[in-house]
Amino acid sequence: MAIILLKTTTPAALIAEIDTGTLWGVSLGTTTKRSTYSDYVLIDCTETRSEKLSEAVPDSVDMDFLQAAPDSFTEAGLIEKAWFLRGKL
Amino acid sequence: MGFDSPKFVDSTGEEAGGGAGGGGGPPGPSAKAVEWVDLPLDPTDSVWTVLGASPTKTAALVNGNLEVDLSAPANYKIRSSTNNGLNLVTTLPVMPWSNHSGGVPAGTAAHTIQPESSLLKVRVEFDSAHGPTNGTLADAYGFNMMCVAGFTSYPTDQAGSPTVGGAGVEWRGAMVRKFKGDQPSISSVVNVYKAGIRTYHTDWIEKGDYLWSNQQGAGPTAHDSIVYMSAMVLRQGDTVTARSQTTGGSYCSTDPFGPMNAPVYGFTDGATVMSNTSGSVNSNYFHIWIGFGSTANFAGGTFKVTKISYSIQPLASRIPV
Repeated sequence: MAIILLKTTTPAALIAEIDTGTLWGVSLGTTTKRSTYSDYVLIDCTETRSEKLSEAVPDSVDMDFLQAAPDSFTEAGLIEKAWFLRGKL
Repeated sequence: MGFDSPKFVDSTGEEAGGGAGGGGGPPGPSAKAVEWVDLPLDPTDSVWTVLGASPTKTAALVNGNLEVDLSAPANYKIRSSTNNGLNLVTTLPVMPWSNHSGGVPAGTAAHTIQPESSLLKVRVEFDSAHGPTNGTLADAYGFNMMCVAGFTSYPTDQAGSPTVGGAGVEWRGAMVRKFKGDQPSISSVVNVYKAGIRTYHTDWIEKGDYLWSNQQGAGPTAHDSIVYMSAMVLRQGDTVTARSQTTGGSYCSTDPFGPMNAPVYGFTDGATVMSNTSGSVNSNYFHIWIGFGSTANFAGGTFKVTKISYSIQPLASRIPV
């Protein structure tokens, strides 16, 4: 699975669009997940879908980060572990 | 009793100045200072192996600059194991110890990068009027085209015939890409170009916070270069997960210590293993690599490079080498 970090001035609208199952014309299937905080939206999806989304992203949205195979929790450093658990508070 | 003037230690570790009659003033240039090493801009030079060239993907020395022409819109994508771009790869691997007075340390192969003691930098400087990539109205001035500058690496000696693309040919570098279709010369939007890092495993991690030299309103500190750098004391030994901290992005080559457009303070992923001599990951033999391509399946544009430089400096580490 890939993760994509998006920055947008309208995160609520972006979340609503993701929740329709299609984003920028790309079908998100049933396994795609998303979360949001502040101006950022995270999408967790297959690598194939992440590549399609990177092709389709409008320039009104900043795709700041796209990693095809992010580290597992075990592989992550202590700071990433701390932020992951902070996000679960 | 205080100091009668500031004291300092020069780059050789000796105290200098500070005393009456001691000469004062800052130290002069050190004989141990490391300079950038410029690589030839002529793609036909034997230093380079050019990969991916075709009648519509060309590289040539024009008026002293390296010009890469990918103006015919097509799929020039460079991503993970896909490499449809035009690439300049040094024909031979880097030998970090070749110029070091101490020679190759005992127990280390001549080609091995020991991250703890090796500062790695690769820089590409672009023509100030053309910018990092550009084009015509038809291709939205190089929209979605990019340049990556860094290293490609292999588990074994490539014997003068490096390759790009394919599963497991690890690569990492600083990246600049055209993020918007604006005509740069009449656009002062700071994210017309974005810069950051791109690796085999990470499609991009990037920011667009600075004007480039070819944009409307660009001043003397506008960005004109991308730079990749890496150095770290290893947390792990010679293993497949011994990642080094790296960063990459853009800066202005004539603005010393000016801000860098870098998306992170430091970055690691599976491509930042800078030394794994077991060959179980492809991080053993490193070649300097400059890739010209696209982030999209259909794009076109051109590049004008005025300088390609590197610095691979082994430093005396825990013990003198």
